[in-house]
Amino acid sequence: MDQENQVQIQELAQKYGCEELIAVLGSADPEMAVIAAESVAGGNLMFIDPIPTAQLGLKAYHIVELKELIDHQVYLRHMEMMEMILDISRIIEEVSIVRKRFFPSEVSE
Amino acid sequence: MLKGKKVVVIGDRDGIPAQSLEECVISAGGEVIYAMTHCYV
Amino acid sequence: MKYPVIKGTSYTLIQTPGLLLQQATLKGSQLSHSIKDQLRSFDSVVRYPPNQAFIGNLLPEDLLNIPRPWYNNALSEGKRQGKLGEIFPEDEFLGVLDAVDVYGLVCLEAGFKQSILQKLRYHPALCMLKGIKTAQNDSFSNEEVHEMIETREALPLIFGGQIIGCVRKATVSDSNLTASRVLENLTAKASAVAALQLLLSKTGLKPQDVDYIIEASEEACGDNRQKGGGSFAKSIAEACSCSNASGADTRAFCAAPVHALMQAAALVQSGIFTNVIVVAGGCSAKLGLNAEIHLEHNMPVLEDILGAFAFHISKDDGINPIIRTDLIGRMNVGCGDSPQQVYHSLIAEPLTKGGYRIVDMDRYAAELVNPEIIEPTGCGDIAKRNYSMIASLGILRGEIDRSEIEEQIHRFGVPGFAPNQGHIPSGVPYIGPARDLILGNKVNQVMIIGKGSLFLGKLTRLYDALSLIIQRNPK
Repeated sequence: MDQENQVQIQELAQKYGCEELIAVLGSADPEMAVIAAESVAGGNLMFIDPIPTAQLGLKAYHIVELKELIDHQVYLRHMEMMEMILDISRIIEEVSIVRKRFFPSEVSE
Repeated sequence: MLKGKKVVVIGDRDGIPAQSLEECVISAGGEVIYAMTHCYV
Repeated sequence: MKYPVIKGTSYTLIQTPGLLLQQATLKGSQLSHSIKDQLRSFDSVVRYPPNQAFIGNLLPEDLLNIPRPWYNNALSEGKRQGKLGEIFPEDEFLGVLDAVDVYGLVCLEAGFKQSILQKLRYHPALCMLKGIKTAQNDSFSNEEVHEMIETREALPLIFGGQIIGCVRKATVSDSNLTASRVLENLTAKASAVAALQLLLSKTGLKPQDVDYIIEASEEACGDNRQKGGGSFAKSIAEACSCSNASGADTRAFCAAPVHALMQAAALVQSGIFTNVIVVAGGCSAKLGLNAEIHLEHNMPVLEDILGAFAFHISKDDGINPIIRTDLIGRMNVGCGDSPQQVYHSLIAEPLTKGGYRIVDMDRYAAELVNPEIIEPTGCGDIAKRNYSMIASLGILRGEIDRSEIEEQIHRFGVPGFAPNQGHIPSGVPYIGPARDLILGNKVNQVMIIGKGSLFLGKLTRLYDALSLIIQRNPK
């Protein structure tokens, strides 16, 4: 994730706190979903602060993990085609591993 | 879990872009406060 | 209906390790030393299979038969000249950079300038450039070059590890005309000039017969009060002695080349012009974009090349492949960015209008960036993903059975083979191979797709895409 976006997210995380704010991902590749989930959780703030002290601390969910929460018709309209392409089980597995790694005390998904 | 939450959406131009994610999140009761789409090429 | 035709194509690659190192330094990368150790030789750039595909010595489809990684499976023989284009080394490019500079901003050291001019005067296409035939009488001593770099904010030009010249800033205080902006813009101009000159030389189209040029890169030239004023197009026409041509630039991020082709086709079909050129040069800011990741993966730094292309669009000659101007696929504002809606508008709508199904296209060409360059970033093979989306659209429409998805992708998907240069890979690298395959009766119709990330400009959250169908001439 680029510097500008990380700075923006950091500001929002500071303003709202990580309880109230989450990230939702639309990455097509499981590997990229993991990279995005890691960047919003751990951050890569070397360019903001040479000795990074702050973490972004956001929990990330891939959109496919939230299917049951989304209006069925809306989900179909945006995701019906993508569901045929995405490696859904791998995305769910790997993104939830990132959450468990960064937020070990909160096991319930 | 999305209801009442503030959400940052991170889309993928060659995956699911930001506006599609946003519509899904809103339908689940979330509030999108920042949206971006990534392009890897 | 008479449709316009694709009468000629040319592609150039230019290896620029010196510019790459300069980019790394400009970005403050700590890795410029490690990059130096992992740079490729010109010979390995020439023998790299995707590069041979780009200049037409290999079909992109044949890359699927060469084991990956391709950088470890270089061809035993590779030619810098190809059926569709040519690969240039950096010294020749620096000579062209100097030759197309009309403001004395490129300052080459006298000995280097002399030797490179000598070399370029033997090049069958570039020898025709007026900046090569009658070079400007300016050259500089080593001391003068170093003095400009040290005291006047000039950027060094490096060849073979030596500083052989520099690029000066164009004004004292305008941030749009700093040395790095001048170099970026002259790089786009020079590489486009090389592609157009090659096209003229390969096809025999006379420069004075060119009516109009549309330039489709992603650079912006202008001063503080008109930052993207342009016109690269007319400057390229001038450098290539197209004295009867005018032109202008088209911008749409990476989708611009396909927009430009559509516009060129419209200008020809309407009868406004007969010979229209679509051209774009390379992007120096994208050199070494993922160099750090490549180094982490112990790979050569593959983003050491600029790409450029030129296409000649003309009126129907009963031979060359036509552009179906009645079947343009586009992404209207109201389309949003839902993948299935986008693919419906872009692919299904024009096909349906023409009476075709998804499987009727022999090939689709979209986002043709070489997967080997981008996969280490974690984003996957984006060309292949686009074809997966097309195939799944086919499933939704009941035109493709789920069981044949892989087979269809393999049949119609052109593998990525272009350098990671934004607008360069955006579908159009396949126009040359498609034209040859259609002329050789090997395929009938191909869809070219360009996508552009408009949201990067922060004026809109939308992205854009456009598709064109190229078809065998019905005679």
